[in-house]
Amino acid sequence: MTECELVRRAQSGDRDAFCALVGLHQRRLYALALYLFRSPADAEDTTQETWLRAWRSLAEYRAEGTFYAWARQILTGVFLNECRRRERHPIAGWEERSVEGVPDRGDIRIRNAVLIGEVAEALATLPGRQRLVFSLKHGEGMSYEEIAAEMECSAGTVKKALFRAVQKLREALGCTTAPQRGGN
Amino acid sequence: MHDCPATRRELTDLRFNELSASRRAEALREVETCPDCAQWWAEVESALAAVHAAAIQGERPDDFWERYQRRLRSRLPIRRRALWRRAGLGLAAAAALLAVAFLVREERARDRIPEATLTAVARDRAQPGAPARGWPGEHAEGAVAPGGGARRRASSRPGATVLRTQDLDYARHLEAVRLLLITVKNAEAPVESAGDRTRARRLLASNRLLRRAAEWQGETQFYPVLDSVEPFLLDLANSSGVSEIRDRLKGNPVFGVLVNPYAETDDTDSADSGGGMD
Repeated sequence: MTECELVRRAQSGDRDAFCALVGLHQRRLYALALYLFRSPADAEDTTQETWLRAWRSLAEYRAEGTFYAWARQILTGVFLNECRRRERHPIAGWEERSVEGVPDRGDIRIRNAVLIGEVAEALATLPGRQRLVFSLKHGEGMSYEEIAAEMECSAGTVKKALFRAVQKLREALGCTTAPQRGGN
Repeated sequence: MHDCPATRRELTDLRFNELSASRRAEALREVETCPDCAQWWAEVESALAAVHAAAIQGERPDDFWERYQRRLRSRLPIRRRALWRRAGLGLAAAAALLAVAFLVREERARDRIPEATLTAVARDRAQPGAPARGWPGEHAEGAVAPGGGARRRASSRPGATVLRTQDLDYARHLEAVRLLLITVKNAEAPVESAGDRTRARRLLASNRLLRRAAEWQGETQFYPVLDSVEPFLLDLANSSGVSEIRDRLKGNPVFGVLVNPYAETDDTDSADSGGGMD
């Protein structure tokens, strides 16, 4: 069954079709949420909320973009709301929190766990909006204009935020594995 | 003339394919002529490769996705009452809420929970032959007084177990949720009060924590209720379509149990028991 057909059936109230749609995109959306929220529990909760919202607003979906892009837009809105809320009512530790991103799997190798931890810490150095821009650009491959439209800001703002995010990640992650300087 | 900061800004665009072919070639030429920029470029590539590798390593196992789908399916609004009954959710919710609502009322009335209630609820919670549950570090026989303060014994009678601090946490939280949902359901006009939204946000945050705790502890009485009310709290916190929320609340048996835990919980009126609060 094609995605369009699944969408049509879901719009007519077919929960199985909707769950099949979710199954097509759940891993990708979760990966994005994990980048943004840096906690598996939060990533799970927010993606679940995203799908619930999508289910309730399915009638508004017009298939102008892909279903995934639509769901991602909902997730982006949830994340920006959370950023705004945290700015108004800061809770100690939210931005500083390190990611509990290491899955509980016996077969994962230590160096991979260390890598995940290092990346998580590096992502934690980025403010929420920079993390969102970076995730949409690096993880989703969106253009500056697309990100700007999704975040309701200018492409220049997106560009600056991405540069700063990359700069911080480079500082946090780049030096340990970069080749030795050969210049000057 | 080479300008390192300007080149590096352009290298970010280069890395993310935002440059035209001609600008791309020019940026690469700039990198070749400046060792510092070449180093910067190598470090950026290295950092982004690490982020990419971590994303791959952080993927969840298949059984996670099976559970994820089950959870989502159970939370999707169901319009037919029969399906709710089949899920058995209403009965589980009723059992939990009857106990906690009673506790909260007793606590308010006397500022402490009477010995008999402690014993009755604790006995109700105890599963014959099941291992004792409790928070890490909590002794099985140490009954806890309301407010998380001094501990007290529930009963010295054989077979009596204990009332735990988290029972009261669940009770207080569900009572607060109940009051908010009643406010929404009974409101004449759409609820636009900032105070209600703030309450909903606060309750949403505590609901998430308690739901995770309930899941972790295997609290089968509380988890389904907490999981069911969360979508409503989410909608209320974001003030989306309050009239629609109200309609859904009225058709939801969990809400019926929440607003009137003393109503009969059989199939005939479980979905409509909230009507008595109007």
